[in-house]
Amino acid sequence: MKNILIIDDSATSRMLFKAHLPKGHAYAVQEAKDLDSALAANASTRPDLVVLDYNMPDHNGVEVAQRLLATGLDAKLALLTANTQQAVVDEARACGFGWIIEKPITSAGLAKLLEEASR
Amino acid sequence: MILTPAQQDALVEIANIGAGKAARHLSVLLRDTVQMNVPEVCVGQRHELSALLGTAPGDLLVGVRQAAVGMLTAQVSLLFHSEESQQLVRELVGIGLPMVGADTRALEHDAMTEIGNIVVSAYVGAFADLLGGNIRLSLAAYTEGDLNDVLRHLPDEEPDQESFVLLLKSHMRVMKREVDGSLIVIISRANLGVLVSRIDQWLADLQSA
Repeated sequence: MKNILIIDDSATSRMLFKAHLPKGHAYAVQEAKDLDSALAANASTRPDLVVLDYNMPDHNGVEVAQRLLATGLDAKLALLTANTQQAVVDEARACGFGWIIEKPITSAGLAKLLEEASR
Repeated sequence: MILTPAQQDALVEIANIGAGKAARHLSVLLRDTVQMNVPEVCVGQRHELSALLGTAPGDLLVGVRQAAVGMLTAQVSLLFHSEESQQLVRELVGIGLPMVGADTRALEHDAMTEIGNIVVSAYVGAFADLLGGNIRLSLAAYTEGDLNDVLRHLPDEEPDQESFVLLLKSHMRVMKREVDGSLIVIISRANLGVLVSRIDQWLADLQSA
């Protein structure tokens, strides 16, 4: 696994994600802030892992994932959200998300995700 | 705008994390799904709060408010329209509190105050955890009335003569009951500097990581 696509409307959140990647990592991280930029990023980079925020304007993270999957996305999915109420978790699981990670991201949490997603 | 785009983005993200945690707690309390939007940042005068919040003059509101003091010094409130709040309160009272021989109205106030305290504490906790500062919260105060009644200064707050405020607003919807509420933070210009300095330091730390 080497290509990661992080989709979050918040530049701060995307920065947090990158700041918590392991030191010296070799991942190529592509960023997207909404559905359109996610579709473009997916077409150009073919990510192995897509990490999505849930609470975004216009489309939530599960809706964005559904649109990506409809265009042929073949990647593992992780939801990164502060909103971990059961309804959101159930919605994400039904869409095929393998990981639900509570914000704020931590180095340990991200390392665990990357290790598990690499299997 | 008094915030740079990076500062505003950071503030919205912190509020988003806080509101997410608050929504989860509310969801557990009410055994219902709570939908939330992306928080908004508004700037205006105190007398414009009604327009900024989208309330009409004379709207009857119920609020639970707490004064935050420290790295975030602000008034933090959970607001519902009066009739809608009764649905939430009855649900909570019905779940957990004995009704026999009790003053139902007092129980409803107590339940609403508890809901507000849990939601506000979860929200404010995200600011403290992320930015690494200390924030003290006053006791939760239950209020009802129009917007002026609900948002007037808490007894232990410093009266703020400045008319400028920065408003952070998160909308929440309790789905099955179709109840809408707002979690709002009102920060005066005088108190904004400390928070912005902390955000700048946090962003600098992130960029150098």
